[in-house]
Amino acid sequence: MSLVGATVKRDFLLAARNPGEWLNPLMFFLMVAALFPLAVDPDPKFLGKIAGGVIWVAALLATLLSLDALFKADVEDGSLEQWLASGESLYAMALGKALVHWCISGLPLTLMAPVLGLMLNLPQSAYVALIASLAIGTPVLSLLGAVGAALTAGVRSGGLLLSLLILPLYIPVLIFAASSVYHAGIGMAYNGQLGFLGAILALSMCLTPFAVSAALKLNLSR
Amino acid sequence: MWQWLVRLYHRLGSPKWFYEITEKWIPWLVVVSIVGAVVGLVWGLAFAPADYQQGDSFRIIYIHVPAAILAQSAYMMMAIAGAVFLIWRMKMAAWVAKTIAPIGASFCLIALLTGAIWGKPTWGTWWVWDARLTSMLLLLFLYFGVMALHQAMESEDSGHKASAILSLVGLVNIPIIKYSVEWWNTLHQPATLKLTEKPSMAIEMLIPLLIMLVTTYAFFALLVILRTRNEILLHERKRSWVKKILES
Amino acid sequence: MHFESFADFIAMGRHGFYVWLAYGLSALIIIYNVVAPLLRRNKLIKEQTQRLRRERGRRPAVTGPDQHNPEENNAPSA
Repeated sequence: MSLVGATVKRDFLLAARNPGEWLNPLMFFLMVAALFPLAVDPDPKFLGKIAGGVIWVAALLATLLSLDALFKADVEDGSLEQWLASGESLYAMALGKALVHWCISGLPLTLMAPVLGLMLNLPQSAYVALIASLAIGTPVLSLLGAVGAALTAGVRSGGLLLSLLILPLYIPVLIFAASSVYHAGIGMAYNGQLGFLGAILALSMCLTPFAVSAALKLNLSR
Repeated sequence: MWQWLVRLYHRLGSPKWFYEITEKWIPWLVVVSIVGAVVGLVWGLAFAPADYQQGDSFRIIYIHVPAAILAQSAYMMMAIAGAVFLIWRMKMAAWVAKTIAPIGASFCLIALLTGAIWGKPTWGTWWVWDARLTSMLLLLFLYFGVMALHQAMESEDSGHKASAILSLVGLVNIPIIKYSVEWWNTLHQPATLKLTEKPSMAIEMLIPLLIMLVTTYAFFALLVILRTRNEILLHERKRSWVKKILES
Repeated sequence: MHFESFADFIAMGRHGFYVWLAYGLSALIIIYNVVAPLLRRNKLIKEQTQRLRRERGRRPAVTGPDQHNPEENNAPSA
């Protein structure tokens, strides 16, 4: 089995044995969404209008939480050196790591989102758009997040720095995704927004692994 | 002409040559900056006719627009310098990239502040989520990210490389961010914000703006040169040519 | 001249506060950007000349080619 495959399999095993890794962000997701009605106004009509945006912001924050640990362990225990020594492509490794991250963070978020929709009185017509936008958008969050995680892997308490670095890059995803949910909610077309999300996903899949592998190599020469 | 440019590029990679040639450029840049600023601002503030809709508050344009343009091109230059460093390991490129960041961020801040202040008499509020201001704000965050990353990395070389990677990622994202913000803004723009600035500008208003733009570029070059010379002095302090300078 | 008098110029047709606030803040930021590198330059030169003087004083018989081994990279910078 290739090194990339072995690493992916190992990371899945680790996540399975350590449920906190994927449960905690999920709980955070739920709790952040619950904060809004408490802080603002539990009136269903009002909540229904902001539900899409709130769920997406909560998803963003929950993803940021889980990104910090993406490469830290690999840098510290020497796996990174092994990857480089193996001669296998770091590009593929970056994709693999992003895939694992999405499976343990973005995918659960996407699956749990309808529950949040219920809590926040999301309009009936918006559920499909919610799940679609999350399904397309959360992989982008993982890919871009991997860039930030690779850059800050060697930095002490790099978690906050990581968030600062990639939040501006997340904005287009947030704008198009939240817009798609909102437009679906008021009965308008939302294909365009999803289309843009798809384009951003395609672009990220192609380009971010380059940045990730360059950033990972940085962490060796420390 | 092309050969001359290529040679200039290579020469600029030498800290010593850069330091010596900029010694001669600085006075000229100072003169251009001061003269240009005086001419441009006096003309723009005192002589240009007032805008039909906005009255005299539009005069903020003479600092707002050049700062905004510069904030964006400075980011591009920073990313390109970072790329040059990553590919060819030219340390001058790394130093230039590092020094551009705070300068670009300053211009970005000027654009944001003057934009917000201009917004108050024009739109009635200090801050408004108009496409341009929002994009500028995000650009400022990108700048902060690059500067923060420089500070956070343990070794200076890692800092240069990491910031170069980040600014390149940001560079690819800037058109996407700008597009998405403008698109978002057309959906959410309240009816009162009908202002689309200067589709056609009277020539007496335009010329001082162009003068200010050229002046701002010259001033930017001056600032970059000043800061880069400091980096050179710091990093090359053991070299004999620096020691000669210090002794004189 | 677009304005009737200097007072009019300052007033900027009711918008004087905004115009001058904008230019004032910009001026502050610009002045900072000019002063900071100049101050740092003076500090660098002072530090290095002092260091050179110390080295000269400690080893008066130094001759031969200068080294250019760079010290550790972690020099502080603004």
